[in-house]
Amino acid sequence: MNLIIECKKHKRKYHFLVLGALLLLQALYLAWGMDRADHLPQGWMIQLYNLPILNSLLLPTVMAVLASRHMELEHKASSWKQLYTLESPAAVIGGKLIYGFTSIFLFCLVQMGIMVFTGVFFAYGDQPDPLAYLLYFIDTLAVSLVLYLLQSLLSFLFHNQAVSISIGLCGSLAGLFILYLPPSLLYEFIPWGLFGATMFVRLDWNPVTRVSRFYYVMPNPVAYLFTVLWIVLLLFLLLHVFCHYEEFTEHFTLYRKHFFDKKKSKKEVLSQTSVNHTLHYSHLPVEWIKMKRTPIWLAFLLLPAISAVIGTLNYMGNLSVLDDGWYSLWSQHTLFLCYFFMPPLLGVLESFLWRLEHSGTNWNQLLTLASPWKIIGDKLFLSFCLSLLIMVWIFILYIAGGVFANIQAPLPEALPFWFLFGMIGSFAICCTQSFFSLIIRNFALPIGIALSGGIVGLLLSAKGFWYLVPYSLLSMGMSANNPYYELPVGAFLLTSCIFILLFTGLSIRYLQKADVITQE
Amino acid sequence: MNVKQNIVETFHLSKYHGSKVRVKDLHLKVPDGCIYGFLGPNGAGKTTTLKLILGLLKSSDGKIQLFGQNVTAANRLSLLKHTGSLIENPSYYGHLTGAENLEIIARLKGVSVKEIPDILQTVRLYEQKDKKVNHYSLGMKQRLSIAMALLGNPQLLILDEPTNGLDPAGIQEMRELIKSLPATRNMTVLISSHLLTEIEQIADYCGIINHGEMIFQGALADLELQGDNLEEVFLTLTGGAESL
Repeated sequence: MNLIIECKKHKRKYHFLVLGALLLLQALYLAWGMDRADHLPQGWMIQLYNLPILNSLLLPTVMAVLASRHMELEHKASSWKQLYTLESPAAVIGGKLIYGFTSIFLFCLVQMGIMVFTGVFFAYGDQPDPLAYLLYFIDTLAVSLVLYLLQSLLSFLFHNQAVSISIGLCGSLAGLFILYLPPSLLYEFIPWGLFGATMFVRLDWNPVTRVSRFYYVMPNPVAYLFTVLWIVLLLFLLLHVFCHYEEFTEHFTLYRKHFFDKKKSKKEVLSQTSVNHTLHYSHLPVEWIKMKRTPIWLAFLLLPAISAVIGTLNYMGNLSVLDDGWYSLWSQHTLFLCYFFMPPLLGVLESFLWRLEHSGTNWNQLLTLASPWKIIGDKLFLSFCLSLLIMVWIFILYIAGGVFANIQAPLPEALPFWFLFGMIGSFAICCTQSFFSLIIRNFALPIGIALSGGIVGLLLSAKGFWYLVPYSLLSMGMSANNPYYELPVGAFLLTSCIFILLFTGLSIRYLQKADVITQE
Repeated sequence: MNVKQNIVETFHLSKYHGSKVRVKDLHLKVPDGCIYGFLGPNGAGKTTTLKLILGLLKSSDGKIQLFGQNVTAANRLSLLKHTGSLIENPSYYGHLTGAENLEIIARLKGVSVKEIPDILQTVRLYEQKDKKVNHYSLGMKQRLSIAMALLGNPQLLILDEPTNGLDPAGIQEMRELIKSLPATRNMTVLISSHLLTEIEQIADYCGIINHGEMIFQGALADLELQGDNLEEVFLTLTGGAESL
């Protein structure tokens, strides 16, 4: 019953396309990655090794996007208050969750279908173990549910969807890196690490013979225990927060005031006794004034910092393999960041910048005051400055990590070029994402595009076609996967310019031609 | 009847959405220095017309003149520099204070920020200027929007149902403010509403639109000649209960 209502609400919303796109990517990955001759004899088992890693890379962000879409639907309609008067809180939250669960269930089912299809298609040499595949199905379903519940809670609490999606991104980066750290309780405890923790196929790579051997291990009972605990805890929390929403938001606001607005509250006390008769102008450019009081910089600080801390630890823990000083550290710091996390993060930035204009009737005001050239130019200039700051931050972290790991060698000579080309690459991604966030009024969807773009960029780079999408330009420019790579500078600059001009032009054209749609 | 220049004039202005007609063959004339009431039931095409005049929507047919000049893509913004507008609901950045919002608008209009305190006093928001707009009441947001529109002392003010959602005191205050503008600031005001009584109290001229077509335009006094009372005239013209 509730499921039908939810389905009706999501009519013409096409949220399932996010999951569909993910499945398509995974199918592509399987088709491209699995046709290696040395993998075919063990194919069925290798799938059970590869897919959990792929899942832990992609599913957290996809779950964040999905949960955000499901919750924002009600935020936008301001319908929570009405729902409270129509149904019990348990029924409201139940309907949402059953809908989410059904989506995830169908996703897992289709994913299983794709795995079976690739297995039969490539005629893998080994026999599929039905029990192992069933276990994998349950793992994926349960861990996705944990993440969905967690993200739903965040998306419900913070109306600004940038918060939940940034947390999802940071979490999934942390979860991914934990896979490569020595096992600790952290590994099973962090929800984003559970895809890895519930894995039961291991890889044994022999550096001498260069042969990889895959084998089954006993599933980790602690990971399952934590999965169940998380589900129970999150369900309880969601229900609790739902039932006490009004009181909760009140406490929450007070709490926030107490911690973040201490200085301001003093000012407010003053201003209550005597009105502040001086007006202070910031004299900042318009777009910079709009960035006041926005906590988005936290995500920009955190994501590279997580990557740097874990990258450095990983480097220090594997000195026997990673014996190339600064160069080894560089890959550790930037590889995952550039392919999987910077594109969505820049997506968050652009979605955030355009959300300011998409909300309410702001377009009416802005478009009567400024030309499309100025509007796009201002936004892109701000994006450029912010991505410059992120880049500086990444480099500070890199050097700090090297000093911490006590690397004696001089800094790589190519470092300034990595910085410069990385900057150009990230600006190209900004222009692309800016276009998508401009034409798509939704916050989360462009971020899904950025994430997919990063993966497509990775796949294309592996085959030498990096110039086809803007998303691979950042990792190419920064030589993230191979610091010794000789970047074809001319082609790189040309491609970057083409993407920057193309998407800037398209954005301006869109503003010139399209009728204004305001959202009430 | 009058020789005044028209501040806004449209010729055969039309807007189609596929086969659906939103505005059809509209000749709107707003004389200089008047308060022009743009009347019509909900969904008649008032907001669409105002958006067309501001270039927020692209017209399917016809042309628009502002201050006696044809509006083109090239001169649109330079003409709009002399206008202030409030369309649909208030536009604002909720996480910023009232003063910060006005600073943004002043910058975009190329107006000195020194005008802001005076404008804030005019709409009685000076005391609240350092509060986040998200914490404003609807009436305060509405007044802030009027302040945004008034910044730079434009010659033409376009207000789309500015009293929507205000309480009686707020409506009264808004009415007094709008009425004073032609005299105190030398402005022409184009104001839309679906409430006849409101227009009756402030406007000199009025246009009535229904189903996208102008069915009456002229001095308010002329409209009153058509029937015993305005209410009746309005209902007859717009098809009575059908449109309400």
